[in-house]
Amino acid sequence: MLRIENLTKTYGEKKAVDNLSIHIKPGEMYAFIGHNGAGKTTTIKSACGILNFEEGEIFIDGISIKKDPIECKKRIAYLPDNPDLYDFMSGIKFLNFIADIYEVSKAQREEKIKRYSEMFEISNDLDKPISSYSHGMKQKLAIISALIHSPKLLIMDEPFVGLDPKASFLLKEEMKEICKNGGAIFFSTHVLDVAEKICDRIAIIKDGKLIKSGSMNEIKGDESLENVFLELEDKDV
Amino acid sequence: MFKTLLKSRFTAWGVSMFASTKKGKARKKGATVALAILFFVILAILVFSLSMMFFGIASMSLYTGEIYATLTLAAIISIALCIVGSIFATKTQIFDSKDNEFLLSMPIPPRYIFLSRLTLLLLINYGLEALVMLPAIIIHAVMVGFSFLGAVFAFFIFMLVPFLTLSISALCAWGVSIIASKLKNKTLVTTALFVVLMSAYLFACGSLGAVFGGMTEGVVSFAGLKNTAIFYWISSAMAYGDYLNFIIFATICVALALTVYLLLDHFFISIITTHKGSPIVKMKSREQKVSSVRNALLKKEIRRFFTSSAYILNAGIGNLLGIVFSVMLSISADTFLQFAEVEPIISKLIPVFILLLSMFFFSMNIVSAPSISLENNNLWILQSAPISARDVLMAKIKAHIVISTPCTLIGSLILCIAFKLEPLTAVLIILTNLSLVLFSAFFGMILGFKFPKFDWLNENVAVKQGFAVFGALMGSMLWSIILAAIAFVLTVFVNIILATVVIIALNLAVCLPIYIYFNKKAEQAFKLLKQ
Repeated sequence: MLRIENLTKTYGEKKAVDNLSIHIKPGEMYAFIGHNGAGKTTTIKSACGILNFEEGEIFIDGISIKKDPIECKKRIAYLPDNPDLYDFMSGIKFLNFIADIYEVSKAQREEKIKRYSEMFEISNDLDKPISSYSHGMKQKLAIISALIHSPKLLIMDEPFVGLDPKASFLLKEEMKEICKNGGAIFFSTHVLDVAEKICDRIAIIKDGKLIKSGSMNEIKGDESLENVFLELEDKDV
Repeated sequence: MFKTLLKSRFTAWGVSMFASTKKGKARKKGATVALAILFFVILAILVFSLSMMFFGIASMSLYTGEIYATLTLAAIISIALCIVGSIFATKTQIFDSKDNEFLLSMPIPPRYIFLSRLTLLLLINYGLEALVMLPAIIIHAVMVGFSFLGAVFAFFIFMLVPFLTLSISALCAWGVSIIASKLKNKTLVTTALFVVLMSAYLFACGSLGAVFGGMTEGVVSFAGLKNTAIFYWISSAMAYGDYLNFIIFATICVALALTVYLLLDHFFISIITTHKGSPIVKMKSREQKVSSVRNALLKKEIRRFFTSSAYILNAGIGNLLGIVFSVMLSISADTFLQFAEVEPIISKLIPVFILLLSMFFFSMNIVSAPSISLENNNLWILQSAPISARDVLMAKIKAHIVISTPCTLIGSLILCIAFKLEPLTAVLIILTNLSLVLFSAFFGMILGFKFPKFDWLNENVAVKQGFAVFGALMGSMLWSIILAAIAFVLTVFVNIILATVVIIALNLAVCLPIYIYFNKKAEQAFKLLKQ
């Protein structure tokens, strides 16, 4: 579903991501962990077609993001770490705007908006301007907008930040559902417990380089993910 | 503690004037010097123009014996300038300041917080007052002279005026803040306030015109100024040492300032901690409307424009000015037409005159220019969506056209009817003005795309500052003057039909390469925005 091959991205003289390769299959939930500034967001943004990169290739469902970005973007949904949405719109107008952009049919958007807004308990707030939303509400709205076109691949940057415990639980359940239906999820997180509990595979990045990747059992063995991560962080790349 | 707060106010103000807004990064030295020079040149021009006006009035007032005239006019202008110039700053500083809650969380007496803000605002008012009052006082002192009592009153009046204007600004800003919090559409209140202030300003200018009206008929008199109540009290206190008028004025100032201070002192915490948010809106179940991708993008751009008073007032001001001046010109159309009957060349040049003015005012619409800068933190939505850069940019251009066309059409139509133009000429004038709308849309868009400004926290910066906005405004206005000059030459030597056809062709010739660029080469550049 997502194949990142030898990705290298530099900012000036600094290599933010250095020769990174990741392969995510349909049905897999893949966690991406690393310290602040390790290159997680850069990798994610490159995979979503937001950032240009110098070397390597990224394929979504077999299509190159460099050669056909629009076809790739139709298959994915991106949830940034800090969702700055259109404050001048109401929640419902924003969802309709996104549904229009992804050419979601009337029946499908109505069904999805109803289902997810009730699930995340913001159905009564959808007519309010986004500028009046709290951080958590914005996060919920961004999640609904990401799910509205039933993406094959969901790419998320710190999706649990700002969510209340119930919304976090519901999002995790929805993520499992997507994977069960053949979709794939690639997300970054600092909440290692969550990654440990729900992910099939994991990649650890440090200073732009992939230092470990594989199935959860391969990576952590009998230890906790936290211990493994801290040990790897202490080692030089 | 108060000194520290005051220092932080001035630092914040300094940063907003001379530093990049996002990270407090200092501007380059050259840019700061250029900015300072530009600032002082504008101030010098303003002070010089006012001084020349006051000099003329003082000369005439010596002749008529109405020596209060210069000072009355200065009082009117300075008080209007202080109120208009500081009302939005007062609203932002006192009622909408983002660090109010942060400061309240610290062991600082709330009174210190709003006093530090009032002090900064008071100094801004003193600055604005000095621009007008100091030249007037100096000219009066040199040409007429002050009595001892008049000079003492002049000093105290100078010191008191900012208290009066700041009190009025604070009350207005408080009122606007309360009304805005009750309404769903906050843009409406702010835009309406601006229109009211602008109308009041135009009305004041009109009234001043009426005062001078008699002079053109050879009757020099400033008698009308005696009816201006508080403004006359100020000037008569300074000019004649009239202690009664001084006491009335001083009492009003002190009483109003004290009342506003006590009110703010009492309500400050509740004003800034009451969650103004937005009125309760109940979700209504309704059918969702489906739009095509291009329509969705266009609707989004139009909504963006109409939900921001700053965007409307800075990038769409040409609509308002264009219509106002079209109406004002059409009122005096008969005078022009009478001249035209006597001088055939004037008759021939009337369409050029209409073109010059309508193109000049409508070219002030620069809706497309700040549209990329305004995306800023929302850019990820468009960059991660399955849409082409071409569609995004063309939606912004179309929004400019949709927003600017109705007023341009109405303004042009009013002028064509008022000046009784022949149908063919009228149609060509309207088409010419519409071609300028196209020019402004494409020209503004290419500047906005090539020179976006993303270092802002307040959207006012995006719509007011930066090369794209400045270049689009100045470029479009200059272009309209160049086109009018071409129209003048072609009309004098050939006819208006050829002139309009050439202008339309020139406008389209500028748009075409930009359109081709957006279609073929914008994709990569769009992706590189903010990288």
